[in-house]
Amino acid sequence: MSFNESVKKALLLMVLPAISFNAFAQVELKTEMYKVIEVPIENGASKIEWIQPNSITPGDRVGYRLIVENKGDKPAGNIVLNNPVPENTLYVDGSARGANSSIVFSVDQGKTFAKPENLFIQKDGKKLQATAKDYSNIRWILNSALKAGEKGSVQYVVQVK
Amino acid sequence: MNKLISWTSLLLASLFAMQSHGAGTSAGTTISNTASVSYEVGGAGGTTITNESDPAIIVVQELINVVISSQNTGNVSVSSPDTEVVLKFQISNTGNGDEAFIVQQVNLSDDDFDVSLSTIYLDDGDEEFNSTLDTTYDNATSIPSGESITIWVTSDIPGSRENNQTANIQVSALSKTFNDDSPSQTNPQPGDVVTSGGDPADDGSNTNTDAVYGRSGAAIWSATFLVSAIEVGIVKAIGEINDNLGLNNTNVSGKPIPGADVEYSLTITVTGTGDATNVTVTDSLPSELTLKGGSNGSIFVNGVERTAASGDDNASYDANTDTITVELGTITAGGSDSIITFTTVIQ
Repeated sequence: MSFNESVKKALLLMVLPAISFNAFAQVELKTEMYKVIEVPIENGASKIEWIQPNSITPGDRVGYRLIVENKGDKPAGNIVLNNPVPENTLYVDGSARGANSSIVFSVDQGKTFAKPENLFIQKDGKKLQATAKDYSNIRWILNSALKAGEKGSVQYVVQVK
Repeated sequence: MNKLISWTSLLLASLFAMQSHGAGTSAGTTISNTASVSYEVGGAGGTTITNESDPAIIVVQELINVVISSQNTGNVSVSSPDTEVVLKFQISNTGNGDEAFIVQQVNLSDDDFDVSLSTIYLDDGDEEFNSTLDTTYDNATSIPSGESITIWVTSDIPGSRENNQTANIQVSALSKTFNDDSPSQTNPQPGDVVTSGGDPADDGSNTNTDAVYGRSGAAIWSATFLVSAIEVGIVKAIGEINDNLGLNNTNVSGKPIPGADVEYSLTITVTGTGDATNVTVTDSLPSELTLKGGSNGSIFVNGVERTAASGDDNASYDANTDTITVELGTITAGGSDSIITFTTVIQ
């Protein structure tokens, strides 16, 4: 092959992968927010509802729903969703949900993640089990890939300080 | 409500039950949430790509809450008539934004009489009531979140009321934002909203947050005035006179002549209701009389002998001023009389 031909081939090989990134898999993330309220129903029981987040005041609970969508035409694997617990809020214990995913938390601003039973904080020189109000970040590790055009969602609730 | 609320429990329960910084996240604060996703393309050994969501933004609205507290526990003793009886209150803004509160006072029924509701003053900061230095409360003083003001609520007590009669009043603090809403929200409930009635939003939008009525959007305090005039009376009487002319200084004529001993008694009576505190009896003797024995003499208080010397008991005689002083402390009205007796010598 001549020098020019080999350069062209090399350029083609270099260009194609760039094009293929955009064409093959593009995962987009959308965050929805709701006000989470408890509505009384009969027999003294109550149910949880996620409604429009109007008039959020201290003490109110806000629900976040992260919707992940594979808008590309190839599967996207090893999907990991990360969300810092927003400032001026506290994570509501046990509220994180995500079908088909493993949920872990961080107490060190996202440097390390672990299951709640393996999270500890230092206080007055003592090592204590971390509680929900210590969590700084939440992570969902999806168990399977998202096929082209497929959507998934995870959610959690915080309380406004 | 006529029930009196203990100052300590009301204040602590309301203020320190809030989560952080006393009043919660300030009105207008933006809470921004940006999540991210990372994924791989091209199977094992492929490249990891990270993408972010658009931020989900919430602006914290203003929550209106207020606490009224007072150190007046129990009944407030008054005379009949009485003018400008003062009650001291603290109005605390326990919401998360600035707010002014309208203060109202009303007479309650189910008591013996009504008082004349008088001026409400805003304390000038010295925590002392002074009708010239303190200004009339204007129902428009904005209190920053987490802070308090002191007000003085004054009432006039009518005359001709007997001891132990009571008058109940109620003092309330109402949100000015809700009162001034058009139409006025005169009986707002928790969760009610005044659109754009709150502090400015910090999101660069140049709009105000909404004002949301909280669980303690208004506060009330009941006070009871109890007519309890107290009077301390003193009666001085002459007792035995000994002219010392008889054998062994016994009495012959009983006449008040120079050199004679004259016994006096002071009877102190406390009538009405309540306690008279710091009761001090002073008897400034006329120059013709001195205490028998002078600085070494005795004064009898309720039958118990006390020395004329000062500092060792509750009775003393000052030879320079020729004055007897007895400290009786606190006497409850309606109890037994206190009797002080002493012997003087006619010069």
